[in-house]
This record gives sequence, structure tokens and C-alpha cells, in this order.
Amino acid sequence: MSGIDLTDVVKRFGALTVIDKVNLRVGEGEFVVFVGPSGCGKSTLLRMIAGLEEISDGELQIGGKRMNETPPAERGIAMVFQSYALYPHMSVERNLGFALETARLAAGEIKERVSKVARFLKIEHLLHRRPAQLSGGQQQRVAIGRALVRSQKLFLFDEPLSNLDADLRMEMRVEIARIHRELKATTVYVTHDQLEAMTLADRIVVLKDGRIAQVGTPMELYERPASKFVASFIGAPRMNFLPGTLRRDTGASRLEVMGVTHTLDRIDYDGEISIGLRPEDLILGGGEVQIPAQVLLVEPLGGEALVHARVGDGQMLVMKVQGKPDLRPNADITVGWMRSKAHLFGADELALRAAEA
Amino acid sequence: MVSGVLMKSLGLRQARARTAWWFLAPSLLVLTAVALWPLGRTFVFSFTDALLTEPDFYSYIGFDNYRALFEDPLWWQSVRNTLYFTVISVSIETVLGLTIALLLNSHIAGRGAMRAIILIPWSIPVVVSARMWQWMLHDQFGIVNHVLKMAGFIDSGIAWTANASLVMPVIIAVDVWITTPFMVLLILAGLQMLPRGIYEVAAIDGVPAWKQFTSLTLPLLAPSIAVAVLFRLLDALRMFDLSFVLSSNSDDTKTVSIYAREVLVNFQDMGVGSAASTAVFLMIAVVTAIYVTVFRLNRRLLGV
Ligand SMILES: Nc1ncnc2c1ncn2[C@@H]1O[C@H](COP(=O)(O)OP(=O)(O)O)[C@@H](O)[C@H]1O
Ligand SMILES: [Mg+2]
Repeated sequence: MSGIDLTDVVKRFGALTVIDKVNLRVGEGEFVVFVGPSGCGKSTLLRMIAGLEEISDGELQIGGKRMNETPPAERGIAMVFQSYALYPHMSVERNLGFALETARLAAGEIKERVSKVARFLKIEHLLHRRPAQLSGGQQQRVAIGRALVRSQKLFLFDEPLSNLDADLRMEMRVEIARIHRELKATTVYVTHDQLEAMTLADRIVVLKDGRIAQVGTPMELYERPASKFVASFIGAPRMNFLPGTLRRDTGASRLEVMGVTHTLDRIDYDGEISIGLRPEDLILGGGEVQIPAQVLLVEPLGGEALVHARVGDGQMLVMKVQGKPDLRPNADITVGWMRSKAHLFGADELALRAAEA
Repeated sequence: MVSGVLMKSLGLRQARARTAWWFLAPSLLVLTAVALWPLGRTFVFSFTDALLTEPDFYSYIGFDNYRALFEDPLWWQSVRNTLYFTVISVSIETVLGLTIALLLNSHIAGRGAMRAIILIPWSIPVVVSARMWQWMLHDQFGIVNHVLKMAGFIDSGIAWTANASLVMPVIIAVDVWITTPFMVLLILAGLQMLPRGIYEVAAIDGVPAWKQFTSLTLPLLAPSIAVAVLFRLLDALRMFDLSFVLSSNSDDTKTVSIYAREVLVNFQDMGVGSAASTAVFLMIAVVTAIYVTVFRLNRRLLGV
């Protein structure tokens, strides 16, 4: 019983509203990731679930029970912090066992559980060291171990990998995925890194200015972003945006972009729009819609390359192509895409969809 | 190649050491002039029969001064007084200082103003504080007796600083009043350096407040407390002003520093006075050495 229900949850710091009427349900055993730019309220929301911040308004339920007034220790959670927050004066072994010691478990049982977790996280050889004698990655493993050892049903992570370098981040990402696969605990994970969100999450919650911008599986967010904000936040390199004009017609719509006009299924919208194109959806010298462009720069990445190009009067595009294209700066090319891959956003920055026939 | 790098780094270290010495030189010079030189002179005089009136005429008399000193029961009483005063006052100040620092560190209303106010007793010169308390404790006109009388606890004024069994507690109380703020300040600084996150982890892990205090706060704060206590120890062991002002002639509160001054100034005996001063210095050195050793050992045992 570790599902989470947030109903109209609000957090205010004085006059400042940091979380504004958030509604969210996290299913039992689900891995949910909060993403969003720095300062959007991810940590605050997580800390409200943990009980480290009071809930100004609305209701939090865990396992179907109201938890607003319940102290953190009684919410059945374990949490991992970005700063690790290891007890600096205790050995790794004691760091892992401290909560159990407090819960008055027998010494034998503590030792057994600590060594089981240590084996699981491959930190057995570190048990007698102090946190200061560990590398960042090792400290992070200990912090995760300390959360695991209490066998709670709900895990909260606040940017656990932000202090690690790229290699370690990848390694720990895989590790966290493995932990979730094996323990199946409900997990809420905060990050500002969309790659972590995409690779770890069952569902992603995109936050913007204290509100939920969109909730969905990684593929849903990638394929059908509800707004320009979500579209540009999910996916790397970032989505390209070109200005265009949409004209409603009988039975169809006509879209004009960079001087090229084509027809689409009818969309109930008329006026200026923004056309979102992912770098990996752009086709060099092909596609249903094609526009002229000039090469600015080619960045080879090994198996693939990023082509930076200029279209129209100063618009920039990034395109991902396989292999190493033989292109010189200033070469004239055509950039194209399939009509189904274009994301259209109206003046309010919300996604436009074809009207149901 | 490797040895070249090594040589270079050695050269660099030497250059750094040389720079460090240059920076230290002025303070070493001053220290020698105002501390080491007088200390050495005192040490030399302690083996002579010099008199304060004619310090230039003396002869060496070996350990006679020390023999005289150690045969004087008043010296030993001064030692007992000093140690008693030190242990009791520093203990009270530590516990009180820690308590107040914890209060000021918690999120209580008005703690900013409290922090400023608490420093006032410490910022007043000790002699002024002592005089102030002397008046407040005066047996006829003092406010302390006045309040006690009004409240009906006593019928006639108590001679706080003249009563043999009261005077030491009174001096300790005034010292606590004066120096607890210093303790508070040092411990508060230590408290504010504690990592905040571990308390959130502890809250989530269900560690009760008292255990957070004994297992997290105290061990992490131990170095700060130890330094504060060391400062206070050194200060208390050579305490002079408070006793001198509040009860200058009482043997019950005579500290080793007062004893040394008395021999030197009242009896003009530079030899025994110097021997007493040297003994005070050695006493402080020994106590400090024991304290530092024990604390270091403790740290190793506790694994702090
Ligand atoms: N204790 C606090 N008092 C006032 N404002 C706060 C406090 N904690 C966070 N905030 C504000 O709330 C907003 C969200 O913060 P946070 O949840 O930490 O963002 P994120 O984790 O998404 O980067 C920020 O604008 C931050 O300045
Ligand atoms: Mg944050």
C-alpha cells in the first residue's frame, strides 16, 4: 500500500506560491520522475510527500491514508538526497545500520541486513571506511544503501546523480533501474536531466512554475508533447521550432512554412503557429515537405553527426544524420520531414491536433 | 625526469616554508618580547633570592624558593581553590552554554535579538562586572538582598562576599554570568556548521530527537565544544580579577595567581613569587597537555 494521491496540493512560502494545485496519482510499484527546469518546484513537491515541508493546502494520501499531518518517520518512506547527507562521523557500516539500531533491531539482524544491502550494491569492501574516504559514486551507493536497508515500500530520490560525472551517472542510472526492477518499490525521482527521466521513468511528470505541464509515459511525452515547453524540454538535442501560418479550409488545412505550402488533415485553427521538428526527424535531401537551407557546421559524433543549418532569414535548425555526411559550410541543401512528424503549436503554445473526422 | 620534478616540488615547498616564516616573523618577535622573555626571566628569578625593591642584587639559591613554596599550606589551598573554581565554573558554563546555543540555534522567535543581548555580559570588562556585582551583592544596599527581603526569603541582608562558605559559589556564579556568552558564541558557531541534511535523513528514518542529539549533534559538535572548553580552562586556571575584586583578602577564594602576586608585591619576595608564577605556568601547561591528550584519545576511540 504505497501508492500516492495528491489532490489540489499547494505550497506557499509566505506570499510566494511555489506549488499550485497539483493533482497526481502514483500507482503502487510505479517509477515516476518529476522533471522541469531549476526552481520549478520539483524538490518542494517531493519534500511535501516526504513530510519535510508542510502542505499549505490540499491533501496527500499514501496507501489510501491521509498523510498531511503524519511525521516523516511514519509515512513509510526512504529518501536519497542530492548531497547524500551521510553521517560524516560514522563508518559506512554504521551509516547503513543506524536507522535499524534506532528501531531496536537485534545486532545480528542489523548486521545481516547491512551486509545483504552492501552485497547488493557492491560496497562490502567499503564498510569500515568513513564517508570522507569515499569517492562521490561510492558515497551515492552508500546513501542509496541506507535508504534500501529499511525495506520501505516508497522511495524518494532528489536529484541523486547531479553531483556525479557523466560516466558514473550512467552507471548509477543503470543501478537505480536495476534496484527498481528487483524491489518493485513505488519510486518518485526528481531530476532536471531529461535523459534520466526518459530512461528511468514509467511515467514522467513535467513541472513548470509549480504546475504540472504534462504527465505521461516517456514515449507519450516524446511523441505527443502537449505544449511547446514540454516539447523543448524532452529530447536531446532540443526540438527545432520554425514559424509558419496555418489556414483552415474545407476538409483540410494548409500550412505555409519557409515559403513552402502543403496540406494537412483539417485542424481547427487559423493563424500564426510554431512548427516543432525533432533533429532526428529531419531528413537531409528528402521527406514529404522540403525547404532549402545552408550548412553552417557539421559536428561528427562518430556513428552519427549533427548538422547545423540556416533556413530562411536567420532561422537555425539542428539535424541528426547517420554516418558522416560530406558537407562543407555554406553548402546548399534541402531539409525535409514527414508530415506526421511535425508538431504544431498555436499562439498559446499548446499543441494543435487534427480534428476528429 | 622524475627526480627533476621531485626536486622542483621540493624547491617549491622550501620556498613556501620560507615565505611562511617571513609572515610569522613579526608575531614571533612580538611574542618573544612580551611573553617568552618575561617568562624566561621569571624562571631564572625563581632560583634566586632577589627582592622586588632591588632586583639587580641577587644570588642563586637553587631550589630553596620551590621548597618554601611547597611547604606553604596557603599555596596548596590556592591550588585547591583554583582547581575547584576551574572545574565547577567551566562545567556549568559548558552545560549552560550548550543549552543556550541549542535554543538560539532552533527556530524560536526573536533569536536574532537574543543573540545580540546574550553577548552583553561578556563584552563588559571583568573588573567592571565584578564591581557591579559587588554592589548588587552588598549586604546592606545590594539589590540582591533587597529583592530577597521583599520576597520574604530572608530577614536581614546576607554578606555574600564575606561569608566563607558563600564567597566561592558567588564568585563562580558571577564568572558563569560573565563567560557563558563566550561559550554560547563558540558552540553556536559550531552548531551552524553542522550539515543540515543529516537531520532530514534522521527525521525520515525515525531517529528520535534525543538520539539525534546524542548520536549526531554531540559527536559532531565535540571539536567545537572541546576548543571552547580549552579556552575557558586556560582562562579559569589563571583567574585573578574576579576573586581580587570581590574578595581580595579571603583565603577561601585565593587563586594561584593572587597568591603569586601577594608574595611578589606584598612580601616583596621576587624569588618565591617567581617560583609561584613558574608553578602556575607549569600547572596550566600540564592541565592543557592532559586535556589535549585525553581529547585526542577520545576522538580516536569514539571515531569522531
Ligand atoms: N524555504 C523556502 N523559502 C522560500 N522559498 C523557497 C523555499 N524553498 C524553495 N523555495 C522556492 O521555491 C521554488 C521551488 O524550489 P525547488 O522546489 O527547490 O525547485 P527545484 O527543486 O525544482 O529546483 C524556488 O523558486 C525556490 O526559490
Ligand atoms: Mg531541487
